[in-house]
Amino acid sequence: MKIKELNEILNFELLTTCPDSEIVTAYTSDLLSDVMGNAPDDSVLITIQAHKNTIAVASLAGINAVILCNNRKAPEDMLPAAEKEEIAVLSTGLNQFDTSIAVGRALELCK
Amino acid sequence: MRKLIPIYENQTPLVVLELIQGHKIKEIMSENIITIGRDMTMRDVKILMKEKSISGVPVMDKKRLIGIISVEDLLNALEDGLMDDPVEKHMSRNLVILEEQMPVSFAIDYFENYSFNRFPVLNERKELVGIITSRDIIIHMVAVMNQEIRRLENLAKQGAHTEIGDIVRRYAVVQNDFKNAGKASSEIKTILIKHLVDRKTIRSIATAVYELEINQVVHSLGGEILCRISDKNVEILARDRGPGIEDIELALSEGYSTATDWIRSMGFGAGMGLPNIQRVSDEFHIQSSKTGTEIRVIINLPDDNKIETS
Amino acid sequence: MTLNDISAILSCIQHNKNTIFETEAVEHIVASDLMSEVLIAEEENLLLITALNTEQTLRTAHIVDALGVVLVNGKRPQPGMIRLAKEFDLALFTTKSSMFKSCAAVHSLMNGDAN
Repeated sequence: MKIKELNEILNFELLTTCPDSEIVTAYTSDLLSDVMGNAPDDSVLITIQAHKNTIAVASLAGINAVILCNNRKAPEDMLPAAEKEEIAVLSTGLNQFDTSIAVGRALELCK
Repeated sequence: MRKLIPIYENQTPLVVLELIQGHKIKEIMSENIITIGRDMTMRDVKILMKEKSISGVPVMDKKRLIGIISVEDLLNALEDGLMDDPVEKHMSRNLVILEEQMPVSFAIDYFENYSFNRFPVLNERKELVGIITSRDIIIHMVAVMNQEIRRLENLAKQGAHTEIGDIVRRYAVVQNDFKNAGKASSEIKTILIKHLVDRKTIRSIATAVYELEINQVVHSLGGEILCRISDKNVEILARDRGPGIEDIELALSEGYSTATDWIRSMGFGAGMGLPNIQRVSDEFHIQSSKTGTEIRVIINLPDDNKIETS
Repeated sequence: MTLNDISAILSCIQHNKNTIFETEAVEHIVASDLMSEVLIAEEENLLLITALNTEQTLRTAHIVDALGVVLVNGKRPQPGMIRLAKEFDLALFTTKSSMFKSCAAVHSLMNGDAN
């Protein structure tokens, strides 16, 4: 599913331009070393780590979009980094659990 | 083993612990130090010590402290007829040293544990900057005790709540010691459960203590947490030895953190610590400078939940 | 949905079973690796799902009166965690699933309960 289609279902706030990449699955984590080691390719990262380093790790791990939970604000230097790496950044007021469920449903990975 | 100086972590009144830990050796040491070179004779030292009425003199090799001559050393030399020897031959080389940034409690411990009557004090560059005797401690500490007790008496007169009967606990927090962080909050939680405080209030108090502990572990050079549980509220005082918060307003905003990736990998540094503490407190005061940060938090107990502390 | 039901659906290794793991219903899930975020939760009877396997995970769970902790990604408890779990009477499990998959599975179980 394209990021654009995914967000049409989720309706989260899109903070960057929307790259034309595919999302196959999702990964929920706030530990960047964990994301680096375990996140699957073409996934969306669900996290509260609103940080420039999150983009760096996402790019290494083949993550195409990052969803910031609990209304965490993206710091100034995070969004330009995301644009450069062509990673979409979205924001929601939901916590990591509820976001995971919403994304899981949208991707038809759970009921 | 019974100590000579009656100061105990768990039994000594909090006020006394605060005084001996809150003041630094730098504030109470004598800075006018008379020193001698290694070649001076014992005879000349005797004359010098008599003239200046002092009972011990540090021996220097240029800027480096190499020993101390005390009255005992003089007496021994006199008895053996060796007064023309250079001091180097008779000085104590086995030096026990204090540092100026240490709290006064360290000096008190040293007087408890060693039989020396004076300790040289060094600065961060390991230069001799002072000397401390039990006399210095008495003079200075009686002065601050007078001040503090007067303050407490005034408080009592004003009808403000007195310390008597309150439950007080003190916890030392060590920099980067993730292993022990959380022990204070666990213990406070246990005490509050015993006193049948409601779960919601306990959760608030435990959260505040825990975040304050973690803050000191992550951001400070070390510090302490003091908890005072009275029949009306719980007061938590967290103070550390620096390096201080550069921009307090920024530090209080959610999501802002100066934490490193390493700290985030330990599960902290999300920038929620101080906001979390503020959220659960009824009163929140913070002040910070390069020499330390002090946070005072008060959480009220519900009216129907008064603690019987006496 | 008890801790035991969750343990079964996530094929957990049970490091510590607490006294209520078959009786008390889990009502709320917190999935996070940052402990200050967990402390914000105000709900009762919650379960913490996390990849953080340190003693602080259990101390945090204890403060928020959680019923238990599920470690994801097959994380083994660090030394001291099992002792703390017993001391605080907290369930401590490990699942091989990721946090995302664990959330999805637990949600399906919750939904199953509702239907």
